[in-house]
Amino acid sequence: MLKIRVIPCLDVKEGRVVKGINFVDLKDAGDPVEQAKIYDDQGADELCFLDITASIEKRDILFDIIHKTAKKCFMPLTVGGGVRKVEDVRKLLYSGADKVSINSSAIYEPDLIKQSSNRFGKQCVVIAIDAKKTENINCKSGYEVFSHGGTINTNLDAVEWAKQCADLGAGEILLTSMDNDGTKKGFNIELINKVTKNINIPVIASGGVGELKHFTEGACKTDASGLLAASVFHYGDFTINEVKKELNNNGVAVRI
Amino acid sequence: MNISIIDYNSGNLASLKNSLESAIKNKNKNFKIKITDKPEEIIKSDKVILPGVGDFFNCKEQLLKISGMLEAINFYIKEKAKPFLGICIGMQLMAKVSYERNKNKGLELIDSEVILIKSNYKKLRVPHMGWNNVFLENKKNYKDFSSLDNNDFYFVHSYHMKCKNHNEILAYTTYGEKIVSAILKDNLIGVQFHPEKSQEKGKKFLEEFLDWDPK
Repeated sequence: MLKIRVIPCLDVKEGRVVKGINFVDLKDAGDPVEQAKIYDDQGADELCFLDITASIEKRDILFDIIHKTAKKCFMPLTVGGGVRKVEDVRKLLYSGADKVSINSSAIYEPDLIKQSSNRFGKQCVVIAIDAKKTENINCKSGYEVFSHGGTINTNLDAVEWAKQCADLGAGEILLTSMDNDGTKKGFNIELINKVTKNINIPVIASGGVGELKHFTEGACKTDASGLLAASVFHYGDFTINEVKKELNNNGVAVRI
Repeated sequence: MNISIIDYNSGNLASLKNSLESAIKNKNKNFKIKITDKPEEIIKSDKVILPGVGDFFNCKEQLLKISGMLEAINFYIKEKAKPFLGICIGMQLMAKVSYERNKNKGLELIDSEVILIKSNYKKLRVPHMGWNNVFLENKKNYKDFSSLDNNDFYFVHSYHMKCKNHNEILAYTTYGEKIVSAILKDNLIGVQFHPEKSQEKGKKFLEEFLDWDPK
């Protein structure tokens, strides 16, 4: 049976791990390579590595850190942040990433999804979607997509955009609820269900975890294939093992 | 002992090399690992690994681009008859034919077809991505590959191999239906999952491959 994946995320700025609350007020939580190794030892199912400020500051992606991380970790590594061209995808894959996550550039140039998928296979193309609840009546799902680290409202309907991504050849969606991110009140179950019901590629749920039971809720109340969290792991609120124990105790299939 | 990983421009091979190195460390044997695109190196090897990510067609194209590589692989497998491991697309390439994109011929080493995972089951998402149990199809292989007896490995694929000969199926995994997750025929072994991404269990499998003596 396919297990639900528990995925720690390393948000990185200028080579250091940070995790903001609602995308601002960044706090420093250490060296990314060391953090990755800790998660590998704890038995994380996958590691996500997001250079969160890259698309704003147009900095180059930190290939060296990825290379070092991939050398130490024998688990799948997803890397994102500032991916603008097919060439960026290629460079990341050759630095040691298994999957590349694309956010803003995919919105403004959807063909990037198709090109990357055709060239490297859909298994390595992850589209990150930052969605926020809206009152906009033209947005059917009630959730709009934001680009550039959650700073620009694209007015795209989150569900429609996810469907389009899947059609263009994305292999997975990394779905972040901007409303829940950093609040520690749990995943946005409604948003996740709206998206998973409309596509059949895997969806990773992100944003809002604060307690162990939130993982169980994410696993039991949605059809997400993976559960992603950052700060609760970085600040040691609980370990990957504790999360898996919690899920297992609640009848969710996990890799122990 | 010389182990060659075939480099045919199909992605980063560092993690495979790193995890093999880590598997060797536990063994204390004199193994040398080389990432190579030279057919003459393949022929001289004691173990050969054909990795592969992306899609079947691209992988086959890239392999054909290296002059003499296909011939070297066939010579190594058939004349040298030494252990050959295919990983993911590397395993699928051993098939007769793949239906990814269009119908494309494989290396025709295993009587099989590579077809799309049926996604019409309820809740079945494609690609099959993540950790799933691998079970040995036949317990007689337990001695050589006990790592494949009910352990979790990391999968990421949309197509799977359908074997004609049941006795060539080494292990299976359930995803909607029973899918082949490992094949074994004489000196050939192939795995659909990624041992180099499967942490300790993956390392254990690679150790078993290094110890494997199919004769």
